[in-house]
Order: sequence, then C-alpha cells, then structure tokens
Amino acid sequence: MADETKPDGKNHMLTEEAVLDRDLAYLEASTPSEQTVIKTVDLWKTYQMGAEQVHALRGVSFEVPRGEYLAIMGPSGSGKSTLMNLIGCLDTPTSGEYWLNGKLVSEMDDDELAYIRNKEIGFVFQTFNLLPRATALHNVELPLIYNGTPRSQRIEMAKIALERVDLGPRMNHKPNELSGGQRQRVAIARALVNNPSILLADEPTGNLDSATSQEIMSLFDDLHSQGNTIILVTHEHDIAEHAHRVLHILDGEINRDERR
Amino acid sequence: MNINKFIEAAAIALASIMAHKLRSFLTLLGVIIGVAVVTAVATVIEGANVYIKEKIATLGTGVFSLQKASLTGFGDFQKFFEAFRKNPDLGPEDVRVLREQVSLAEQIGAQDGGSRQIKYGNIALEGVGVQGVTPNLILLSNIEVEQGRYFGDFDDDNRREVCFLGADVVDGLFPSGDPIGKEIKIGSDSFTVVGVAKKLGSVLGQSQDNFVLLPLSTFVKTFAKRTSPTFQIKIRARSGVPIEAVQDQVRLVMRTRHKLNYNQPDDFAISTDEATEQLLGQITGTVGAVAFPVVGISLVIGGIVIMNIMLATVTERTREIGIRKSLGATRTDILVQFLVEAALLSGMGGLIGLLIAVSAMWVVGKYAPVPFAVPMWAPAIAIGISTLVGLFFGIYPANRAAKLDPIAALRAD
Repeated sequence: MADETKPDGKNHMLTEEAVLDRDLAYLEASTPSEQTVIKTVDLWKTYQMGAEQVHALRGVSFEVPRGEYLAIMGPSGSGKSTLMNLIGCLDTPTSGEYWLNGKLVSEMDDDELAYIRNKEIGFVFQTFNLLPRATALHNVELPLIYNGTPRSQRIEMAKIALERVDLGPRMNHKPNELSGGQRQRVAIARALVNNPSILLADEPTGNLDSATSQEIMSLFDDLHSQGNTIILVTHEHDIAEHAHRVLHILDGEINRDERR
Repeated sequence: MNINKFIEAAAIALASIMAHKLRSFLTLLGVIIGVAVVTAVATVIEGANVYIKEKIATLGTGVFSLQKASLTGFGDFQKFFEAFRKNPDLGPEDVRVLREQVSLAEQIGAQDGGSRQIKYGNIALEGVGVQGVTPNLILLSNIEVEQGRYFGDFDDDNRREVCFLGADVVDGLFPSGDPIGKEIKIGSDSFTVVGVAKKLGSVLGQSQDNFVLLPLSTFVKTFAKRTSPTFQIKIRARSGVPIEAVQDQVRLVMRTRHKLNYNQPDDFAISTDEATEQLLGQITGTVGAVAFPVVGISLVIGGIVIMNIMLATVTERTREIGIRKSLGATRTDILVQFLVEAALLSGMGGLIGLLIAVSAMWVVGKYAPVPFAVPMWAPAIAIGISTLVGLFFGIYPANRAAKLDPIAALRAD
C-alpha cells in the first residue's frame, strides 16, 4: 500500500494518507515483540556546555526481554546515569529511539512521559527519596494518587505492597522513624505498587551497610523470581553479581554485554 | 485533574502551612490586615446605613416633610443658612391651606419647638425638647403611647394645657411616681400630663426620649406669641399615590401662596427620607473611597509577600517536586499543588482577618452609639478576595515549580 502512493511524488508534500501508511509500515518493522520490554535504537544524548558539545551517549542500542535481571555498570562519567535517566523516562534522547513496553517513548512530551513514569516504571533511588513528612503508607500511595486511583482502593493496594516487603506493621511510621533498610523497602513497595513494567534501581544499596545491602539484594532476587523485570544501575561488582546480564558502559557506549 | 489529586494537593498544602506556623502567620500579616480593614470598614458603613434607615430616616414610606429650609435640599451649609434667613416662615395658615388644597395627601401634620427648662416640684430638667404637635402627628412619627393617651383634636382646638412626655423626662421628673395627671411647669405655665411615650433609645449618642409634646395651638399660644412660628409640616401621600405627585401638588400650592414666578426658585424645602439617606450615604461613601484603596495596597503587598514565601517554598521543596515528578506527577499536578497552597495560605489569612475584624467590631459595637452590622457578604468577599490574591500571586512560583526538570530536582539537596 505504501508503495502505491509514494512513487508518484512530484509533490514533495506527502498526502496525509501517505504519511499514515508510511508510519504504519515503519511501526510494523520496528515495534518490538511482546516479549521485549525495552528496545533502544542508536540512542544519543548530547549536552551543550558553553561552546562545547558533550556526548554523554554515543549510539546505544540494546534490548531487554521481559523478566530479565539486568545490571548497568560503569565508572562515573561513563554515561551510565544519563542512560538511566533515559530508561526511566526522566529525559528524552537527542536522537535515536526508545521503545518501552511497545510504546515509542523517545517522541513523547512531558505529560506523556509523566504518565509513562507512573504506569511503567518503578524507581528505587540510592537516597530512598521518600517524602519526609508522610507516613510509609502515604509514600507508597503517591503513584496511585497521580493516576487517580480512588482512596479506599489506593490504601488497600499500598498496604499489599508494604506487606510484600514485610513492612505491614510499620506502615504508619514516618521515614525518620525507620532504619535505612526499612526506608529502602518502603521505596521498593512504592515502586511496585503500580505493577510497573520495569523496576529501575539506581545504586539501591549505596547508602546501606553491607548486611542491609544483602537483605535488600535478596529482596530484589525474590522480586525477579516472581517475574519482575529489574534493571540495576551500579558501580559495585558484588551488587551487579546478582543480575543475570551486565551492560558495561564506557565513554557513552556499550563496552561489553555480559550474560551469565 | 481529578478530585483525588485536588484533595492530595490541599492536604499537602495544609501540612506545609502547619509545619511552618510562625512563618505562615508572618507571611499572612498583609492579607490579615487588608481583610480585617475591609471587613471593619464594610461593617461600619453597613451599620451606618442600617442606622440611618432605622433611626434617622424615621418619616416612613410615602411621608415627606415641608420646611422653611433643609440641609438635604441645598447640600451645603452656606446656602442652607441663607435660605433659612430669607425664606418665609411656615405657620398655622400654611397648614390650613395645605389641608384644604392638597387633595392627594392622606395626613398633613405639623410641629414646632425648641429647647427649654421644665420643672416638677423642685426637680428641674434643662435642655428638654418642647414641641408643639398636631394631634395627627403621632401617625406621622415613630412615637408610641406607653401609658395614658395622646392628644385629640379637642386638645388642639381648645388649646388645652396638656402634655405628653418622653421616657427620659418621665424618668427625670417622676423617678418613683405615676406621672399621669400631674402638673409640670414649662417657664411659668403649667401643663397636665395625659400620656407617656414608649422609650425610643438614642441616635448617634443622643437620646430620643428627652421631649415634652404639647398640642400645637397650645404651643403657639404659649411660646410663639411674639415670634412667628416656623412649622415643620409632615405630609403622607394617599395610598397608591406616588409621593412625587403629592410633592408636586404641595409645591404648586406653596408657590402660589408665595406668589413666585415660574423662573424663581422654591423658597421652601421639601425633603424625604431618601434625600436624607442620600446625604448620609455620601458621607459613608467617602469613608469607603478612602479606605478601600488603602485596603487594596495592603492586599497587593500581602500578595507579594505570599509570592516571595512561595518562591522560597518551591526552592526548599525542589527535591519533593522531583520525587513527585518521578512518580508520575504532571506539570499540571505540581502547578495545582502550589496554587492550592498559595490560595489556601492566603484564604486562611482572609479568615483570620475576618475573625479579627468581627471580634473587634463586636467589642467596639458594645460601647459605640452606632450598632455595627457585619454585612452578610463580608465573609464571602473577605475570603474570596484573599483567596484570589493568593491564586494570582501564586501563579509565578507555582509555574516555576511545575517547570522544574525532574532530574535536576531529584539531585537537589
């Protein structure tokens, strides 16, 4: 169909129909399969620093199948954080494509990105990033507030998520009444509450002692065995050990894609 | 934007305001003062208006007065005094002719009087308003009989030496006894008390009960033998007849009596409650015209202070904004959150200002001669205006919060 309408084009403007056909054909060719959660095609991110252009990412392409346990490793300045921000839909690439759960995220505007972050991504941060004045329960409720879940259902879902990380009894505590490990569990419950496509953890054990780190990592292992897709961003080898695949980033490129 | 998000926004706003009580209060001073002043001024004006209607403008509907000169007819004192000097006096003959010729009037009454000393036994009262009145004047005034009777035509026709006392005079002269049938002295003349009026209270701190009424003809015979009387004539229109039609008839009769040419101005004054209300309304209007710009300035300053504190709040809570954005809050969500906070903050200021004004007015009202009525619309306006001030001055900070880059915001300390 696309071939019938394209070739006669003396007119440089394509008809609306032609554009639609072209896009449909393109979509069919590039849409990742059901089993692929993430697909990136030649991602570039370039920052303008004064007169100088800094390429934080230089053409990164990879795919993540559903249910994978992936670690992204790299020294600071490697572009690892930039890649994480793109995967987390906090930022858009300068060029290239990013498909998340069948949706072309790289072309989205701010509000659409907010919707995707709410629906598809569960963030776990190094510094927990809990609201200090809110209880554990309320912190876990937050993503549900932003997608308009009714209050009673919201509380129910938040309680279930907290129970999944064994924090049911402490749900009415505020972050400053919880230990570091417990705070990170609250953050994980918050990440899980919306049943996202991926759990995206940025140095999740960076602020924890080694015993607590082990506890949090075994929680991630459990979540993976329950079918969750997990992406860890870390620079610690023993943390990356838990993953089944490690992407090594260096100077804005994938240096090594290591599977175990 | 659904209701869940709105409730969340209000809850966050309240928590944030409560977390910084002193700061919030200081932020709100401008709005509090502005709203307190606007409410107080509105209360005073409303109180004055109610007061004028109830106490000063006592003629009633369909009633107007005819006088030698009146302040409301001329508007300034100079002209009033000039008219008072030049215009012919109104006397019994005027009343007679008007009653004869003004067919549209239902009642025409008249009064005349001045301030005198009165005595009973060895008790004397100074400065009592001694008034001569036609018997039908009770129908044209707010006086009611408490005890005894008012005058009848036979009192007036026969120039009987009877009198009717105001409540203060009764209290002053007869602290313990029954005044009916007693004789009081005005100058060298004696008058028998036939009735007592119900208490009227005071207007602008001046008692309305400090009077002695006599039949008008008795008054003229006793006190206006040498000076010509200057009657105030009160006229009520027949029911269904517009007051203006009666006024026109009165004007025609009076101009004919005074032989005025068509191009000469009236040499008498016709005034109604409306005219009185208008004059006093001008005074209260001036108070408003001075007070409201001051209020406006304080609200603008209050708004700027709110804007300032909201900018500080946004900076302080950059990380929170980042967290919320990472969890799916859109720009609109963040915008609404901070707008609600600014509006709520400012609205609370309005509420506090309102409470301060109402309680201050309540205290003042207990001691002031004029009653203060907080107008029904004052709370709505006070809170409405202050909320709008918050919304308006919240736009800039809220927009700044909404536009924050989530990555930078998450990295903020």
